[in-house]
Amino acid sequence: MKTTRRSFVTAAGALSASMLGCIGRGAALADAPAAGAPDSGMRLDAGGRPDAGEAAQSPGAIAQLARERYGKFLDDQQLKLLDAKLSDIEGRSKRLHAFKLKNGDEPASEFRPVRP
Amino acid sequence: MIPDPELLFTPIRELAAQIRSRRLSPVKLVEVSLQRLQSYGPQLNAVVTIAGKQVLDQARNAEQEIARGRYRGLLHGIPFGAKDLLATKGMPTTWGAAPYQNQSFDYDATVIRKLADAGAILVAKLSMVELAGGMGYRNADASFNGPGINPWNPDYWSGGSSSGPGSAVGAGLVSFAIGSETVGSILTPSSFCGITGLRPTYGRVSRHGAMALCWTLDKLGPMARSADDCAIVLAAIEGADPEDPTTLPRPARQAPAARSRLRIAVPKGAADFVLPEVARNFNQSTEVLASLADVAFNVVLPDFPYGPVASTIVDAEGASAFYELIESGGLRQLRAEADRVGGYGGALVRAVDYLHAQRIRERMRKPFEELFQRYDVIAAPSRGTVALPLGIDFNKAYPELQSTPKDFVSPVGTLIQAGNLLGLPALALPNGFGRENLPTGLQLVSARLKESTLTALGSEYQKRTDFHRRRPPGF
Repeated sequence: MKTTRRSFVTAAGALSASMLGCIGRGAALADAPAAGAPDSGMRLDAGGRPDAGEAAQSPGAIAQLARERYGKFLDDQQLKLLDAKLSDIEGRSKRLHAFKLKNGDEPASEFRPVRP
Repeated sequence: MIPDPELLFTPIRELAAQIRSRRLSPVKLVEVSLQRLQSYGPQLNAVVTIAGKQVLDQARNAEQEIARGRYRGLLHGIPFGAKDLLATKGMPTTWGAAPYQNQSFDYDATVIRKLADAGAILVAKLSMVELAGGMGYRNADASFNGPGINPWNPDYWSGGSSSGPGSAVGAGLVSFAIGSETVGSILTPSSFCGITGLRPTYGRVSRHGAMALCWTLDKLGPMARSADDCAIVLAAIEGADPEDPTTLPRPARQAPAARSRLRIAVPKGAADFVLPEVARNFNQSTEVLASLADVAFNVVLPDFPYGPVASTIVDAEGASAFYELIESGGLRQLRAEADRVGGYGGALVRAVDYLHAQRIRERMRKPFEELFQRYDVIAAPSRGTVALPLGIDFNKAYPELQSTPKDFVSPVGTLIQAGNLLGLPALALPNGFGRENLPTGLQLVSARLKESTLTALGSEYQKRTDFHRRRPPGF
C-alpha cells in the first residue's frame, strides 16, 4: 500500500514525540518552528514526522559514529542534543524515502561541463 | 521639507525626488542615518559595524555629482545597510558568528558594488543569526552580538536570520537593507518587524561575496519600507554576474498580461491553526486583494515532503560549507547551544538522502508550473504568528498552537519551503497588528522571474492600506 504524506503522520505521532523530545511537539506547532528559525534545517520539518519505511542505518549506529568522530568536542548534555538531532535526521530520512521515485528521476542539482 | 525623524521612514522615490531637485542633501540623509544607527542600533542589537566618516565624503561626492547634473538614479545618495554576510572591503564581515568576528575581505560582494555604482551609500553592516541559522538554532539568542530586538516591542525577537536588516529598516535607521534568504530569512524578519521584503528568484541576484550556507537555496534581496522600494532596489542589484554562474540575465521588460486582472490563489487552510490575529488580518487582506484581482480560495497545494527535503539540503550543504569549522570543533565558539551541536548531525547526513531530497525537489517543479498556469500569485500569511518572545525556545512560544492536529500541514510553512526549494520569488508585506503591538504579514508568491507582478500587486495593496507607513513607538 502506498504510504502518503498524510497517512503516516498520525501513526508516527507518538514515535515522533518520544524520539524527538521537545521538538516532537513541533509537529503540532505546524509552521511555528520554521517561523522562529527559518534557515535551520532542524526546524524546517516541524519536529520531524518519521515515516514508515526502513532507515538505511539505525540511529544507534549513527550515534556511535557521531561519538567516535565528534564526542571529543561535546559534553554529556550536548551529546543528548546530538542524539535528538540524529533521531530527527533519521526520521526525516524515512520520510524522504517513503516518497517513491522512479529510476530516471534526476536530482535538481546541475553539473555543467562548461561555465556559461 | 521632511523632518529629520521622518527621513528614513520616507519612501525611496520621494527621497530621490528631493535629492535630485536638491531640496534634500545626501549628506544630511547620511548624517541622520549615522546618528540613528548610533542611538538606536545598540538597543536593538541591529548593528555590527557602523561605517566611518568616509561615508560622509561619499555623500558629499554624491551631492556634488548631482549638482553637476550627473544623477545616477533613484538610489543616488540613499543610505543602506547590509546583512553582515556580505563581503565589504574596509569593514569586517562577521557572518554573525564569534569564530569569524575578525574576518575581513579585500573585495566587495557584487550586490555591494552594484549598489555603489547606483550611488547608494553603505552606512552599516547589520546583525544576523550566526551562520544564517544553518547550524540549527532554537531560540533568538543566536548571534555573537545578542538576539535581534524587535522595534515594535523590545521583549520580542526581530526574526531571523536577517535580524539586523529587519529591525534597522523597521526602526528607520536606514532607508533599506540587503538581507538573505535560504528558507525564510527575508520573509520572517520582514513580517515580524512590519516591513516589506522581497525574496527574488534564485539566480536573479548574484551571490558572489555572500557567505554560502546552501549554494542551491541562498538568495539575496531587499528589505525596505514598501513594495515600490523593493522594486527600485532589485532593479539595481539584479542581473548576470560572471562571478556567480547561477545568475540569470536581467529579464526582458514584461509585456502587459493578456488578462488584465490577476488571479490569486489562497491555499486551503491558509488561515487555520495560526494565531487569531494572523487569521483575522489575513482575511482582511484577502478582501483588499479581491478588489484588485480574482481570488480563488481553498486551492490545494501540491503534496510533497517539503520540510524534510529542505532540512536535508540545508543540513548537508551547510555542513559542507562549514566542514572545517565542524571538524575542528569550532562550533563550540557559537552562541546558541543548539548551534554548537547541530553541524555535527548535518555532517552525517547520508549522500543518498541528500540526493533523494534533490530528486524530490525536481519532481516539485512541474506541479507548481501547472499551478502557475492557473494563478498568477499565491497568497498566505507570511508567518503563522507574530514575533516570537525572547528567552523562550521557539517551539514553546505560543502554547495555544500546541493543539494543532498532528496531520495538519501548514500552508504557511509549506509555501515558504516550497517557494525556496523551487527558487520562486516572494514578497512579504505588513498587513496589520496583533498582540503586544506586534505586526503581522502577508506573503505573495509568484512564478519565477515574476517579481514585477509581485511588486506591482504589493504597491496596489499598499495604496489601499497604511500598515507599511506605521512607525514603531519611540523611533
